[in-house]
Amino acid sequence: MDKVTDFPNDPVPDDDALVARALDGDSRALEALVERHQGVVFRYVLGILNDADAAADVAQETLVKAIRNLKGFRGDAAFRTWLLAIARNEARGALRKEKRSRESSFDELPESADDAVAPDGAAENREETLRIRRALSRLPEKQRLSVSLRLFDGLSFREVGAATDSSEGSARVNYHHGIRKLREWLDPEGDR
Amino acid sequence: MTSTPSITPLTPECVRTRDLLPLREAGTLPPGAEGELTAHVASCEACAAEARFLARVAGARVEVPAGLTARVLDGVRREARRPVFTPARTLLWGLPIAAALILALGTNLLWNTGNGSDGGWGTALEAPTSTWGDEEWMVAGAPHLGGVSDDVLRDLMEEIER
Repeated sequence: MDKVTDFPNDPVPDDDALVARALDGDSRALEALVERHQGVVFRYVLGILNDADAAADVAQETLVKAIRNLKGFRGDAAFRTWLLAIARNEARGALRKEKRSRESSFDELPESADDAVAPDGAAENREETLRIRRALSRLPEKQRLSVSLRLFDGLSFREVGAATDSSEGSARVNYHHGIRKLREWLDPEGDR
Repeated sequence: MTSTPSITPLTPECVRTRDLLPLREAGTLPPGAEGELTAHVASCEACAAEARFLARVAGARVEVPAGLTARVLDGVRREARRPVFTPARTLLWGLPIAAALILALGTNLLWNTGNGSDGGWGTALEAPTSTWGDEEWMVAGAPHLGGVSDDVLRDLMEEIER
């Protein structure tokens, strides 16, 4: 994968264009695909495994497997939908192997550049963040995934449905029920 | 004094707004929807409260661990270096290996001294060092003297007497 090209005429190529270029040996296109989708893959797997370290490993395996089988992507569905289907299989496989409990392990925040917080109010911010993440982990899986995919990654309800093995309508219901439960737990006295 | 949450009936605009609010937080709002969203939130306290709550939850989004892209690309390069065995390639490599194994087995059977100490594998490809190793008279690891020449027979007898 030594060929490097710019995208002079297409500053924001869509997934199909990136896939075509990646299959043609364009390493930048491959890297762009990974960077574009690693977040949704990671958070989706995190929603299933409820373990940040395991989710990082499974997300990596998912993306490697997807790239190695890029020729198998036919374009029948959106690239992201295809990717999340691979992620679901990998995450379920990891669950079966480890017989991981679904208790939350959100006590430790994953290392990330974004975790660097300003000195003022840092502890309060981290505590609030942990509180919200723990509440998310308590949701039933489909509600948790629907909230995560919609709110954190902006997927359509149709895509959320595909990723959670639900209809579009059910995905919408799961999302709204999840948000309502989070408000009950995090905001029991109403908006503040 | 505890307050009960107000139950505001949702209008169609409220339903649409609440569908769109998460997309604004995720940065995937459809073009042209921002104005409509902002206008409704400004006029509807219930949707404004929903917008504030979603912004709070969105702030807890877990970001991708540092270095994941590099790990993925390294993993892809490692996989690319691993030999891929297709049926054709398996046949291409497998036939000579199978032939060599058969040859080794057959040669071992012919050269086996018969003591069975190592099943003959240790001497499978060793050159015979004595008359006993001569393949003329060894059949399936056992001596078969029928048809052995007189000269060979004499050599054998001399070895036994030594």
